[in-house]
Amino acid sequence: MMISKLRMHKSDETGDCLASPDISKAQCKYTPKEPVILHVDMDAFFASVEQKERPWLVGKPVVVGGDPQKRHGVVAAASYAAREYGIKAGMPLFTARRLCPHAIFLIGRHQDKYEYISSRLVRIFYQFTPQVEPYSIDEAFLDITSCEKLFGPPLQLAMKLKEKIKKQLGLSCSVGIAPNKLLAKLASSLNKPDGLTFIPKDKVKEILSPLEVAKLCGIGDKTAKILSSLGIHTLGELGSYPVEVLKRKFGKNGEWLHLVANGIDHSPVISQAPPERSMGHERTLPQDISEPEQISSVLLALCGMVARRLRAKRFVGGTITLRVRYSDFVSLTRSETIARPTNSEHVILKVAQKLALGVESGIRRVRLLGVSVSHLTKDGQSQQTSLPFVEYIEKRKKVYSVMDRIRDKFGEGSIRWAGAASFI
Amino acid sequence: MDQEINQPIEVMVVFEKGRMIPVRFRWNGRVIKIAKITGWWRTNEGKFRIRHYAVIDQNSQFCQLSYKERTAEWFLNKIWVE
Repeated sequence: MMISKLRMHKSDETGDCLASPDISKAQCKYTPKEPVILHVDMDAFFASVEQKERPWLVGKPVVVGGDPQKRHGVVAAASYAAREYGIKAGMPLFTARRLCPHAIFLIGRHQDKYEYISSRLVRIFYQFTPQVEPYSIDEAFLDITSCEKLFGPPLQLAMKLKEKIKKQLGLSCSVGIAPNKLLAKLASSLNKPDGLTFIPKDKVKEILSPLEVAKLCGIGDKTAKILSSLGIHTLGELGSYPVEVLKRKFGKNGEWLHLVANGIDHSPVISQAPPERSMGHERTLPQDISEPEQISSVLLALCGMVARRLRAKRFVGGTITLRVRYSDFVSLTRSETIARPTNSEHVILKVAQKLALGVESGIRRVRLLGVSVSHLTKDGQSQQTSLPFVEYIEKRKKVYSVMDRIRDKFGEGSIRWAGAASFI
Repeated sequence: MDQEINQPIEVMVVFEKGRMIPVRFRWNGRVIKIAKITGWWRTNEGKFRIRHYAVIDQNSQFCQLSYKERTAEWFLNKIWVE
């Protein structure tokens, strides 16, 4: 059984949780009743997928990015070799080119490909436990509390999982094992790439204490800066800081900070997707626009996409939100709640157009437009009132239904409203 | 870097253990032998599937092919150029 790295946060002498690659001898202190959470994080996922397809790129600085012609010119993923030059996801592509001119830039990322591979990954997870919570396209939490009889101790299960992913997808991942989600996520980040890190319950404090506060998921740069101003730099310092002072400074988050700094997290692995609270679409436009007709055309396309999703899941929504980003990158959102929840693109459009007038979108140049619908209820549950235009509405519903069926059969781009922007 | 081609091609495939595996294709009058499939995935076009294959040919050249189930057509989508 081969694995490139195996680092345990427990001294080898104790032998409780081994740093030895001889996993068959691994003895963990966990009893079946104690939660065992595993966090899987794929290593530089998008870049690794591309490297697997083009084997000569392995070990080279590879950057996967959006298409600058569509003004999606940011880094979506960077290989580990590219990261050594300071390239990070979310960075503008021109900055990445400046940092590493000889990097290989793969432009025009393929979300559908990555999503498909991610779905295969999730199917592998389900072979080990039904308690799987996908956290993002390339990360998931697995509750393996009761899996010992089937797959052996947690470390052995993790090794089997890593092997299966490598064999079936040709990709490496980093795995963290810990008593809760917070620590499992931290563990997977401590030893990347291709790592396997186990944080036993009795070593939590010892491991957390020297780490910088920003290492923990949920503590961002802003919070870290405030903590730094209080003289708190490490999790050990945060964990022993008076919780009352933290509460005064951060409100209800103060208590959360105290808990997480001490490695306490009771959030369960939720294997069912949470109910949808809103549906929306937004697009960065190929070029800035300001003409009201152009804006309406984009909005119709976006409203059509949102309404189709609402109808597909038999939802109607009562609050419509417009998001606008101007050419100077200033963003605004405006919302309106309507009397009768809807899943009609024309009703959504009418509200979105009204909202657009209120944000000078016909005056200032617009870079991005987005429409979302929230306060969702199941179609048919909303209060029906007698309407003077029932016949007209019914006719329109029939048109929507036919358009939906055509799209179901031939794809999303097969039919669109004549006034809708074709590039969306 | 990748170069977009998106041209129809003729492909010879074998069916093995329920899987469709392209083995060679004709493009611009040349027959290109596929040495290895390095990646595959599926997308949907309505209710029809599009099967995508990342392959390496006998000259270690990278190509990306796709098969549209709706029209039973193969395309060469991309090749790698230095």
